[in-house]
Amino acid sequence: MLRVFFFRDGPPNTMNRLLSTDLQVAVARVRRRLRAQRVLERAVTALAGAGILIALATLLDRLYWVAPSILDGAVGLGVVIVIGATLEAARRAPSDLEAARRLDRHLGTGDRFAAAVDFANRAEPTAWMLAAIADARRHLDPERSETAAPLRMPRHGRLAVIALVTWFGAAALLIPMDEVEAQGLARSATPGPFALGAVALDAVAQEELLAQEVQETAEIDESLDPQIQEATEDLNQLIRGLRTQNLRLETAHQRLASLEARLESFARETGEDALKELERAKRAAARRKKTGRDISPLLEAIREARWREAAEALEAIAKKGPKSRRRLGRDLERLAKRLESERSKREQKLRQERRRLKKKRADSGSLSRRDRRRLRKNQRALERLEREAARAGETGRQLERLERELQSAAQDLLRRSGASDLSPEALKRAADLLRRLQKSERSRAQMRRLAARSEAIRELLRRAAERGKKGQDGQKKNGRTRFMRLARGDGEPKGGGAGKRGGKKGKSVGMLTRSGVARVQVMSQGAGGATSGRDPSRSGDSSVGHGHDPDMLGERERTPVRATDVNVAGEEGEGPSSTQVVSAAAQRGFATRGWKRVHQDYRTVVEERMERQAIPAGHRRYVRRYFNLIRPR
Amino acid sequence: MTAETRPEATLSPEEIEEKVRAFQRSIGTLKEEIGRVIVGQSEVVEGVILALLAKGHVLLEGVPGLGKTRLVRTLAEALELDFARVQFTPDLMPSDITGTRTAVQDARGQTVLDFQRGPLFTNVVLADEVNRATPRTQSAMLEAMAERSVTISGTTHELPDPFFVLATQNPLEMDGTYPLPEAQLDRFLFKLHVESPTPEELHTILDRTTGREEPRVQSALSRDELLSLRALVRDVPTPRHVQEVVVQLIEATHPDREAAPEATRRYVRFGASPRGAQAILGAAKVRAITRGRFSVATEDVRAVLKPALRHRLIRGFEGEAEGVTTDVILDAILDHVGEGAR
Repeated sequence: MLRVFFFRDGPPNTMNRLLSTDLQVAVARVRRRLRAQRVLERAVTALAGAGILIALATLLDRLYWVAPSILDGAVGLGVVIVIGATLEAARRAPSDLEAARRLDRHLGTGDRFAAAVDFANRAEPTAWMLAAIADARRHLDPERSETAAPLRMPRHGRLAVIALVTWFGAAALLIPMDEVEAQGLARSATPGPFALGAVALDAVAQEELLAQEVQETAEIDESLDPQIQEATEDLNQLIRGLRTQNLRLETAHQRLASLEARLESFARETGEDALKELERAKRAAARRKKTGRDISPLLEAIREARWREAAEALEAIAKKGPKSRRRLGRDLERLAKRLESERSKREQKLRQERRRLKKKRADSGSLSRRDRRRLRKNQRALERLEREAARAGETGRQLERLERELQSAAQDLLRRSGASDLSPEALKRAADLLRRLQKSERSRAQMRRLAARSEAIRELLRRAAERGKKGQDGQKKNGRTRFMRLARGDGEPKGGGAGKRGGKKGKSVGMLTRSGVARVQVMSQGAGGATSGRDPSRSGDSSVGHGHDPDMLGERERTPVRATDVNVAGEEGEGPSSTQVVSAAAQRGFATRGWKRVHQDYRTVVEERMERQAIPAGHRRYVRRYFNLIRPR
Repeated sequence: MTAETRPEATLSPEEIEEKVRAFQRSIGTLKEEIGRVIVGQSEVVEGVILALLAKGHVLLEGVPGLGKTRLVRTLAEALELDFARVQFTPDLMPSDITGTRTAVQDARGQTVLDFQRGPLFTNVVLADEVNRATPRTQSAMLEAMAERSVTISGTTHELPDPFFVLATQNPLEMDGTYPLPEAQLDRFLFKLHVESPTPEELHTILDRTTGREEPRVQSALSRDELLSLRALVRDVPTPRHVQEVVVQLIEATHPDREAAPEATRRYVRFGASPRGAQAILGAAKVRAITRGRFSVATEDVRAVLKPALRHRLIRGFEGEAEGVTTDVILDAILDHVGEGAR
């Protein structure tokens, strides 16, 4: 069965004894080469087709238009096409007649060999046919016949090369620039740019993802910022993709990076400056001095950042009767002034000065040197304030508008105090602004939740990658083990690994007390006859011991001298500074009480900073991991 | 029984090889003798010899003065054959070429009707400007070509063997002519175009024909030798793949067949008949043996394709309107059949 796939000379008895050996050899050689050329042609053509198919699939995959399974399918199909076409071509051997005709064309013998092959296979060749066979034998030139069917470059060779280069290019080069960072993360976990496998999550990770998926329905809220809604939907899609194992590790990292970039962009808009503005607004509302009872619910709501309730309180103010309008107007005016930010005040002051200087220039025709300098300085200060306002983001702008609307409403109330009806326009606008603040607040909360979920997913991916890399990353693992040992206070192993041989293991634990560092030697249970790892003079077997060492407590002391009790008092004082604790922990391990305090302090600060500041995507994980590794044990 | 007259089955391969060598030599000698008088026109000369040995007739197409009559006369002289030239005119009657019964007095003084043979009763006939005769006369002529006999008043008169007709027609002057019907064109084995000589050939022609003495040909083959060669040609075997090519070519001339190329579908109304296939293979056999081969090759088929089929394809309206010649269509057919015909 298999013989059809090898380059045999053809089925037995194809050649006739009437043909000379030279002619048979020449025809068989041409036949072999024709077959080889045909196989090559088919294989290369199939390779070109498959290459185009796979290159297209890779391109679409790199653009995230198709799932990785499509690329897998395309690669599989391509391989099948190439192998199938090659085997099919190998199976179909050219006939002797075809080979003889090729030989005729090459030698210019006018179908003599083809006729000879034909006539030799006739049942009863005539004398003329025998004469033709003899004539063919006379015209055979063995040397020239060797070059009758040389192997040539396949017709679609160039196309195949282009397809393969396109494939490699699409696979290796086509990476969006804004996702390079995610690529960097993924690269450490994936075998290379041609990795085809989807992320394989373990059961625990699947459960965690399921829990994340359950959250998603609760988190999509129409009242959120569209940017956050979109990010939520993207994260949910990512989770679904991971759960159904339709995503590659690299793609998952890229999507996470894209998501985090958007969250960062949102965080910048409602960032630290915006939070400062909110804090300032809350503090302003907390000052109840000189405000009446009617405005108290509004101030309370602002102080506690309950913006929806604040809006309702403001709307309630609009319904108050005409008697209290003047008082309400004054209260709102005061509130507006309190809400007015330092920047607004400065800006207002600068603009007044600017108007004055410009008026002066218009009146006198020119300005003194000093005034000109002041005008330029004024201009620069205004520009600086504009930049600060931009940093305050949407929240800051809303607060400023709120202040203006409250101011406007207050003036309106004061002006119309005698009127029968109250124009609620300014108050309504202020209420709307408060509702928008509510929306911003919720969006920020959702953003924080999304960031946390993103972090959790990144950790899952890291675990999946770690599991895949087990056995390949021994060196890194050893380094981490060493770090963990240090963290436990084991110190550097010495004595050529003698500790492993010992049945007992010495363990030094550095303990930090209020009065200083004391060193305690703790002996673990083990079989007798073993020794500490630090003592190379004694050796024990490597088997695990059982029972207790009879000398566990040591021999009874029989000191001939009389014991004297001595009271040792601890030293009074603050104890070591944080710097001393950190230094000691780095040398002796992270198992002291002082270290626990320092670690807690730093970790809190770090968590707070990470939440507020724009940390590059993926770097948070390293920070958290670091703090996790150096946590007190 | 000599080797010349024994049937092929009794010949050994060595004897056949010897006969083929002799054939080659004879044809070479014949070409040399014709070449003494006829300058250039190698394709026409070869076509005429192939048709003669394949027992066919030839239609020569070319303007007057290109040496058509001279070629036929020279051929007849080189082969020691009788030659007759008939100038076809509209008033030429069939009996003028076939012969007629006339009243003559016999030896006893009685008047009897005796058959007077016409010019067809010869070995080589030159039917000059055959398209000027009426269809009736043409029909009589073409019947004689096909049957190699003439029937007058119920009596059949065999024409001499070999009987070889070379008809000419002028492609320019079409006024007052009667173009040959397709059915009658089919009777010609070859239709050959006689081209004008090149300047060099014209110099040679002038040198040879304007002096005191004109070149004379010598006998290259006797009549019996010619008949022997004609018999030998029939025995040349045809490999199956060559015959397959001939079939493919004929199929490709029919516009209603799947094998037909676009040119055929567009420009041809009727394709070649089986007689066309016979003509190709018959002429290819002669060509193979004249080149020292013992079987027909595809290159022989390719070489005789145009002269054998160019008058057998009936062009459609589009082909005639666009002036597409049958040679162009046949080139397209050769390209279409492709690898097999190479």
